[in-house]
Amino acid sequence: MKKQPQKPLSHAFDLLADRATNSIAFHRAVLDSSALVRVRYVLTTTPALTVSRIAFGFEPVDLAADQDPADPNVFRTGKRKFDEVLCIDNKLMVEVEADGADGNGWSLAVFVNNKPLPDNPIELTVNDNGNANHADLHQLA
Amino acid sequence: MNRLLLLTGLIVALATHCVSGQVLADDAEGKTSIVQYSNSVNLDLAKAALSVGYNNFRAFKIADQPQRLWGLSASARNADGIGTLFSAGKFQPQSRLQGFVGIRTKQISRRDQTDLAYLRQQLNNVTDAHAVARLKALKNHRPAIDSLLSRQKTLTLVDRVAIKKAIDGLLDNATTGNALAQSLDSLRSVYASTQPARSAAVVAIRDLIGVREQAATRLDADVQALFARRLELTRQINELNVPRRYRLLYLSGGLNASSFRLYDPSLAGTPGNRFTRTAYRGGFVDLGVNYDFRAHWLLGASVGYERANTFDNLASTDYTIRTTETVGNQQLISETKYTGYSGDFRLYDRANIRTDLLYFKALPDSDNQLAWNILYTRSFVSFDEQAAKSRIDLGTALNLYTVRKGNFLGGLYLEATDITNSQQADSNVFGRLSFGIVAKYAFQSIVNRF
Repeated sequence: MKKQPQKPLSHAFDLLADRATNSIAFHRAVLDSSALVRVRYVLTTTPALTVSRIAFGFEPVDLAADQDPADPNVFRTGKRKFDEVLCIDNKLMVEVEADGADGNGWSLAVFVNNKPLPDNPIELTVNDNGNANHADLHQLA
Repeated sequence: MNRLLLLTGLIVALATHCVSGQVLADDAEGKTSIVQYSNSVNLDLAKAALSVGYNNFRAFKIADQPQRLWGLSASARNADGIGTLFSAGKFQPQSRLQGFVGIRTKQISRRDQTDLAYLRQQLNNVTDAHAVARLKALKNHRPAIDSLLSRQKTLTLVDRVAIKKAIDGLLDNATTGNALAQSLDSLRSVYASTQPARSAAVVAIRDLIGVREQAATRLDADVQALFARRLELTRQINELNVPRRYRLLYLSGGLNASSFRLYDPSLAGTPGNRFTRTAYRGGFVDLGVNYDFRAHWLLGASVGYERANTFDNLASTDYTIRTTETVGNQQLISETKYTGYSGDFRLYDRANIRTDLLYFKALPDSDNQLAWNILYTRSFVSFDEQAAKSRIDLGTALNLYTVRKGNFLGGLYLEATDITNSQQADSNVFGRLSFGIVAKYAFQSIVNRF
């Protein structure tokens, strides 16, 4: 990764200027839309489905670590906590890549800051090519 | 003899061999070239088979490249089934130890590979970890708020804890800056009249967040554009809809052992001497390949070597040896019962070749899945034509599963044994047709497929 050049000194003055007019700055800034959220998930698959990727805000989960020890068909937030996922415009990016034979599929429940997504559960079954891939933004509650 | 083989075959179809599951694509004798994910402990009531297995088939679930799979299973059973074990105490132990290693890799056609590689490359290029990390650092207000609170000399410890708790809740609930600003304002108005110190702290926090949000604005736009591009590329990759293809190469091998009494009328001495304890040790090794194609097709083939015996061709007979002893004017009659197997018992080498072609179809309006083993072939080449003749069996089998749980519901099969009629059992091909129902008893009542 290429290192970003040092910010010029003028940047500091910008910040100082902002500080002077912080109440205005705040209301200008809050037009922004990204926020850090805490994501928890449970993905349940049919037994004959293979999962390649689960990601939130483009950050993939560790599938092997998240696989339920008792039931190999269930993946849920494990050791690696998704406490700082960027979501944009009040929407969370959700990705699932999976494949399997006809009739197989998955069902995903996502919780953002302990609140379920209105779209829960997100479900998909495989198409004729055997894929059940999903990549979309989902509105937060 | 062949009839007996078919009959035993039908029953054996009920039995499960742990490592490879062997229900979905079983032939009448429970052999298959398809590897499946199976449960670990099964008790088959019909054959009194108990098996334990350990495998890493949960790795089937995760598409690592490549997936390394292995398994071990051991099973033991009574050759005469559980009924005779309880009623007559007949125990003819048979045991089996089996191991399995396999490598499963995803296959992509060259044309798809080119498109996919291009898009993935693009996706990799559209990344700016530095910007994302910086934005995250700026958006993570909690540590900044903590340090600000610790610098507010006018606050008591109670105040700090109360404010921190209130603001934690606000940060959780507000996922946009506007919502956060509003909730901070209302928090300030709650404190305004009674808790001036807290109110001042909230104002300071509000300003701090304002500054941080302001600094984040530019990065925010960058990262948003980045995410939008990534989303677009990810969608394009999904729209490529690259056909699913897997190749699984596996090697499986094992040992068989059994012991029984062989009845040999040619042996001299008392009748009891004619029953010789015979122990059999055999083994097998199979090399196989499975191909998954898209949503519907699965092809499997295996070749292997086996050290086999002719136990299935032996006839089981019950014998009673009656001894009469005269003591004075009385006779004492004692009986000894034997179960002996009579016939030509031989060990021989053979090569096994098995193929399966499966078609999967989800049944509409139900949770059931049909797995149709369109055509399976089981052939063996005997290296000792006197012990056993080479033969080819063909068959087709319909199996039903519940998709969600992977429960095996049952199946039907139709098998034409000995296509070339090398064993000359019945010259009419219909006379050599066998069919049956496949069912299964298991501890967990679940057969998981991979």
